[in-house]
Amino acid sequence: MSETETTPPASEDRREDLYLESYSFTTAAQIIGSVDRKVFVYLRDERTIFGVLRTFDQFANLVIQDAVERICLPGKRYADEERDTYIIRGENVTMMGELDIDKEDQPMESFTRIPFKEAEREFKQIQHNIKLSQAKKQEILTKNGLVGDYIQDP
Amino acid sequence: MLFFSFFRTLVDQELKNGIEVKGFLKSMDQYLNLKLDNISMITDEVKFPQLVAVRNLFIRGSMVRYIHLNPQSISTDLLQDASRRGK
Amino acid sequence: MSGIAAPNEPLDMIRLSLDEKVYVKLRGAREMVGKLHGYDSHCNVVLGDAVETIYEVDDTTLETKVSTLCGCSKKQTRTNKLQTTTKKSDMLFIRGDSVILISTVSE
Repeated sequence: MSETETTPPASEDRREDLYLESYSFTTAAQIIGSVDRKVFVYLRDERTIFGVLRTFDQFANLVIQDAVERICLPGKRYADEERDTYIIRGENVTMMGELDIDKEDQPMESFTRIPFKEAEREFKQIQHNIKLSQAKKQEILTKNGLVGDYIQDP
Repeated sequence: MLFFSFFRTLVDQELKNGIEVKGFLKSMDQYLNLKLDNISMITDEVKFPQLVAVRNLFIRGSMVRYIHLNPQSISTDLLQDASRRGK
Repeated sequence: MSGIAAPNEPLDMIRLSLDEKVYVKLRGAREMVGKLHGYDSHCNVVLGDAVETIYEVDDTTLETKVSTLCGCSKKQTRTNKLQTTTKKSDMLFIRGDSVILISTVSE
């Protein structure tokens, strides 16, 4: 581990600062390799979007072209719905991954495709139930002086 | 800035609200956003079937709860010194 | 206020706990005990030999609670029990936004 970098002699303080400042673009540096590639984005509300990443900024705001929203349900079922272009505000992004287009269909082969409306209804129901039970659990936790997980917005 | 410079040198494993991801830490930035390579899911394989096809993963720092580290790759003395000095 | 070694801001207290065993209370109904190796101003923390305790509400308890609430017998709801799970980690980074409090542990 090159810890020497964190313990610079005083005279090098300024150089170190400049060095670190130059890293302020690294959010960009991390994502730039995925531009114009197919990516999947997992959002804070547990939705998954697939599409081509066209542009982004330092907040991880994203523009996804030819977006497809996919819902995966228990029992190896899934549904796809085509969307147009998505501009996703960075704070809603949980994670984003670049897809290997040779392998991307492989995991879905064992899944059954169902109508999107149906899947969406079931998905929302599942999420609603989770939210209800979380709220009830939080009540009990509060009595015990504990703070539960963040309850997500509706 | 401390942890930013500290993490830059490490190989990691990582964990997040309900989801646990393991991978090789490729880069991170001042918000502690992470980029992982060679990822694998510790939990929720079913929920993320598409991850088989994922090459690398960008994780927004704000969604991170813990990062498990390899104790061998950390000099605790240096880390403590750096914390004392602050910054 | 002018004491040389006296802490004059909250984070100075944490500095005094470096290399000591600390208790960290976290969001997500979690607690952690471990040796404090590092921290920063966001309360990001690195703990060594950390033992995590996760409190979970028993799902069955939850059902009883709901039904008793409907039946207006609130007293039974007091007997809710929490399940605990313990996890260990040799070296752990905790993101500051989930930290509620940090305190020293007397051994």
